[in-house]
Amino acid sequence: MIRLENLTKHFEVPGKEPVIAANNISMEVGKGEICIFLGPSGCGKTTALKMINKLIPKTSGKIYIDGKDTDDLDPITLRRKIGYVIQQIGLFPNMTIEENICVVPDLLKMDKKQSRKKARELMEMVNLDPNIFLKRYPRELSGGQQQRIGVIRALAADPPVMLMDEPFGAIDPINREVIQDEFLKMNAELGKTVLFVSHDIDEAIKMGDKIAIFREGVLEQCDTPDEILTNPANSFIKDFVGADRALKRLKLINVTEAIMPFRMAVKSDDPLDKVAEKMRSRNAHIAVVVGPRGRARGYITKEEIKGDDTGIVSEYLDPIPGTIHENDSLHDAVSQMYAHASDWLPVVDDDGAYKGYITQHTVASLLGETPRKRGDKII
Amino acid sequence: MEEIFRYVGSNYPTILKLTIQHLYLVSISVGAAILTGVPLGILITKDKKLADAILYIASVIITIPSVAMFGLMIPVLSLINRGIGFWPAAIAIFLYSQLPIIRNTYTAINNIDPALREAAKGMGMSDWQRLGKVEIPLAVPVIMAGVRMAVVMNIAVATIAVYIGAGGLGTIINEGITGTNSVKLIVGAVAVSLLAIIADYLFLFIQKLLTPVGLRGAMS
Repeated sequence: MIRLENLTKHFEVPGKEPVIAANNISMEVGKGEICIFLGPSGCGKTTALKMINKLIPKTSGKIYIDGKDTDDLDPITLRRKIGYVIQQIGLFPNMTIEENICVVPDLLKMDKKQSRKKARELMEMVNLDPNIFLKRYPRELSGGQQQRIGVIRALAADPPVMLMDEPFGAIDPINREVIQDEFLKMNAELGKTVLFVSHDIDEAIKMGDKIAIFREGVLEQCDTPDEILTNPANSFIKDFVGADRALKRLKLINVTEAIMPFRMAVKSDDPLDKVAEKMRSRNAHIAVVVGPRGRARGYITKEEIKGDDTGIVSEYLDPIPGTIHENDSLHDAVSQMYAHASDWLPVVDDDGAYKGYITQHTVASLLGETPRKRGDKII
Repeated sequence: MEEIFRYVGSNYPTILKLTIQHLYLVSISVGAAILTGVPLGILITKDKKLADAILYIASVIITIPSVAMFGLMIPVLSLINRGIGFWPAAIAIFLYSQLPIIRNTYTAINNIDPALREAAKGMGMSDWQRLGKVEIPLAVPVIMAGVRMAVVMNIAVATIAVYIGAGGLGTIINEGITGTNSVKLIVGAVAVSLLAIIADYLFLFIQKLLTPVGLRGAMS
């Protein structure tokens, strides 16, 4: 979808050697992928981004969008086909929210009725009520609301490509999480190819299908977040992603991937000898007691029931240490385990029904494995 | 006091005629100054050196006393037989208006948040579209403040124009001075002052009217 070939930028400095802000950058981003340009300030990530919509003229190299050489397009035509979001938001204060959203459709002389309808749809996607906000002016909105408008303004003319320059950098941490989630959800639906500049490794891991790490104008590594965390290409990247890179991978892995292959669900009136036999055969340490509606009621351990062949499960019932949703990340799961000083957690679905359990041991062995492509299951 | 009212009562057609003459002179000259000063103010935002030079020249012009300015006009315009009357006065007022109009336009455009410029550019607006849709609407309140300043200042300056035969309310004041007629003097002075005050409020109103709704309340 987007291909950079030997993209280079030299900034001329009078009386000095030119500064090389981008040095022979070559990379490719597939259709519908979110690629994060990551690196410390001054690494050339923003320069690389702005060369794509010609806000910064390139010194040499080629940029292809959808196989087309962007040299053949004049900057204005090109920019209208590329959504652009900046950190400072840049909503026009003299225009209403509706006018702001419809800037590019109006520049392209698209049907007004159609674009106004689209503006409403987009607002609903970011959970802003169009009836309340469309006729307001930017200064009447909070920072987080303004940046939501900034994002949908870039989407209004339905461009295939979005360039985002630290779009959520100025938003407070709580709102940032929400707006990141909204954007991911929205793009899962819209399938835009997104290039996204960030200096925040956590944001990159969360948002990126791919991460491109830059240093002093050089593209050091471009790969999936998982691959970068597991196999950093050099010591710079190792330092940049941080000593806790194994822990950061926890955010990339879903609870379902670590769930035990057996549920070990028992009923409270099951005889202990049968349960003990079941646990032995699976080599399971615990069994989860499930109620009539499929909810986890409590658990028993192998040690507790040892030697008692005549009783029933309910005599040894311990309360469960909390639950974790099957779609949560292992990061949340591990955090809960530590919070409850437990080495395991039952996994539940949307209805609260028990699905199986995870243990610290399975999580640890998952992290030790080689990186997987997103979506591949381990078990 | 009574004499003043009597004078006004019996001479109001003359006063009215002179007021219109006065306003005509100021509005034509400041109007022309808007037409040249605003584009010039926008143009010089592209070049810092040019901006410094233009603003310097405009500042020098505004320091020339009006009597001296009219004096300078006479020999120059005599070459085309327009040494006295409307033209030298109009040109002087036109020149005096340049600084407030150019400076305010330049400052307003220059002070627009660079992020807005980047957003506009990045979304695919041409330079003209950016100017028309974003920069000028945002600059209008400040430009209008400059126009207001020029109008009020030049209502005063135009009073002096009577000495080069341009008429206006200065006529009454001049008659008051030469004939030591304090009634005429007072009537002339009050008329000019009233005109300036009314113009000031009128332009303040226009300035508020032209401020984009999205900016109202954000600035006083």
